[in-house]
Amino acid sequence: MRLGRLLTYFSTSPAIRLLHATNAPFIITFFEQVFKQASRITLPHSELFTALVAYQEELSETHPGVLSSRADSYLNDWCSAESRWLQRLLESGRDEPLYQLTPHSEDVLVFLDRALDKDLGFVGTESRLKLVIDTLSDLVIGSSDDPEVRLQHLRAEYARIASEIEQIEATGQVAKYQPGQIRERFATAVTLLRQLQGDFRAVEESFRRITVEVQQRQIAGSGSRGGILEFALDSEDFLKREDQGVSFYAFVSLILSPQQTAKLETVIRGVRQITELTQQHEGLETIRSMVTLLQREAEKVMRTNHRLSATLRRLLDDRTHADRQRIAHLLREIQGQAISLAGSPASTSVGLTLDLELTLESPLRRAFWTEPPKFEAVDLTSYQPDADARQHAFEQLAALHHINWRELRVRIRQALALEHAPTLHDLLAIHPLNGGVVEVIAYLQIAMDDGHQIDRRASETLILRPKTPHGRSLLITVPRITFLSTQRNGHAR
Amino acid sequence: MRGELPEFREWSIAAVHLLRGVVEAEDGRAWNILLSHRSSVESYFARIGLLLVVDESEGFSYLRQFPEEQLPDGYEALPKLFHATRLSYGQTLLCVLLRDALRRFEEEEVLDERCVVDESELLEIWRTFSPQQVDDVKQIRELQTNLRKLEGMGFVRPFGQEPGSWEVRRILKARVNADELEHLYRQLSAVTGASAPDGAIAELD
Repeated sequence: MRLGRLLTYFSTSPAIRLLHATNAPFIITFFEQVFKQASRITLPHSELFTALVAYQEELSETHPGVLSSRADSYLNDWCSAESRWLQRLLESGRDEPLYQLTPHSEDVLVFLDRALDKDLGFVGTESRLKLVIDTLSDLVIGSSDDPEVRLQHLRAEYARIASEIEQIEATGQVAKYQPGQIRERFATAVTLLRQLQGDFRAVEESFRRITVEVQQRQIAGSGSRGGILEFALDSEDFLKREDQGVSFYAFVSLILSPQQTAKLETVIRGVRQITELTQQHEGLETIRSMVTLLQREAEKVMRTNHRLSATLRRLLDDRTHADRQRIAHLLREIQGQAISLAGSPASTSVGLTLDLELTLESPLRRAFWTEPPKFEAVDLTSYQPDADARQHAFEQLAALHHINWRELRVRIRQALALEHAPTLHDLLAIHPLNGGVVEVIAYLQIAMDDGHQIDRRASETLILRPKTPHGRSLLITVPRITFLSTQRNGHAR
Repeated sequence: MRGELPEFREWSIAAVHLLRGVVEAEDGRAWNILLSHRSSVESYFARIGLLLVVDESEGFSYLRQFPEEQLPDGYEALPKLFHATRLSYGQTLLCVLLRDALRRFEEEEVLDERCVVDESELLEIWRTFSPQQVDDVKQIRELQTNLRKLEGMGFVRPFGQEPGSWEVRRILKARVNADELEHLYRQLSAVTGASAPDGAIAELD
């Protein structure tokens, strides 16, 4: 039984594949840097791409030959159906895909955290046992509806508290945790928190799975509609009623309640003042931002959830269901007919007629009548050339800077031979400009034409030295251009 | 000007946006104003024979001419404000393909919020609807021209900075609805049915 599951897991799990990957340590470090250490849940394509290029550059010095292919082919690979280490999604209101870690890569990060135990140094067995005992006792009390059980518990607590107060008053001494115990408890809390952070992708995933399940049942056939409705009475409710949903919504109300967060913030401030923990930089950093991070996670999962339940509601709506089936049928039929019409002249008489445009005519939209332009005929037969004027015109023409496109492309190739992904700034450090601003524009044009990376959100400032001793330097700000070694084909994704 | 302007009403903002085209949930302010003053906007436009369509679950809203059978007495005297645009066969076909992409997206996709299609994938399908002897370059150009036309109608818009990706906008669902498709289907049947009986056309070619 267990062996069978293990065999399947080892042969199919993206998490195992990630651990097995040739460049696993480098990939995992990259994920950790851009998502976990930066406290980011999602990253837009441009940012992740730029971060990867920078990381590759860094690696080319420390570990030559590692992760040396094109950055976007890695991103594609990591999102592919085989890998599933990253998830690519399109969000409304955003003009580029977003990436987030999948539950599989989260699993790997948690696993490695545990295996390597980070800077926390040890596994706290005592504090874990205490946690287990406390949780179990709480379970016994909390799951009973017998007033006698509750009272007995409360009285015992009361007696314990009273005796502790008495003892402190008598001796003036407090029983404080040993430094080791303090660090141990802290380690346990940080580990739990990291695991918790890894859990959100799994929660999202399970909500998604439910939606897909309803979708599939819905599409499978209209005969079982009653069954589907039973399966998902009210979609939002349904997502909430599931065990995972119940726990998640309780978590949300906890982390979003002002009293609870205020209390938690006070506790965190207290933890940060414990002298025994001052060396635990990484752990303290994790704790410091935990409230904001957890709130952001909660909001992210809730947003996904609202969207999913809207999808479900639409799917289960009777009216739209009939409409959808009719539309699907019509679309199929129309396409079938259209294939047989391919290229036939009869097709010209077919077409949709839609009321699309509001026709508002305003007298002001029309320009006044103007006299049509007249062309003057110049008779050149008796033209007397003016030698000075001609000389002047030639000089002006000669002064225009000629852009040698080939030369510029050669320079880009040379720069690429020296550096992994040079920016325009890097390139100009190797080959200074000699054609002025026009040359910068030419580089922009080449970057555009040849499919190099143009990041409009980042900018670079270039200094243009004067060509004549009395000229002025120019500061030019351009979008950040990163030259890439292989030219990208417009259709490649 | 004679007298003063009437007192400002917030819903006028939504009204102006509607006159300029579709108002989507993504538009934020105009959408929220529209939802909270829906009946005022509705009656404002009804006076000039325009029907306000708001689809809350899809997140868009637009104006259209009242259907004639719904017009109360007297209203039939109003001249039409919207004029019908006739789509070419190519544009029509592309609408059908995109409508189908949107349908598949809604039934299968749970991860993405936007339906984005790839020009190269679209071209693959487009080819099957063109005569065999037409060359690739011409087909690409044809497809791109049609896409740009549909962009002008608000049905698609380029996605992201890299060329070749198009977002199919939800408003396509409202414009190319079941009735329009039905009508199109009948037109097609008339054409194909006139030249050959059902199913025999493929063999004749």
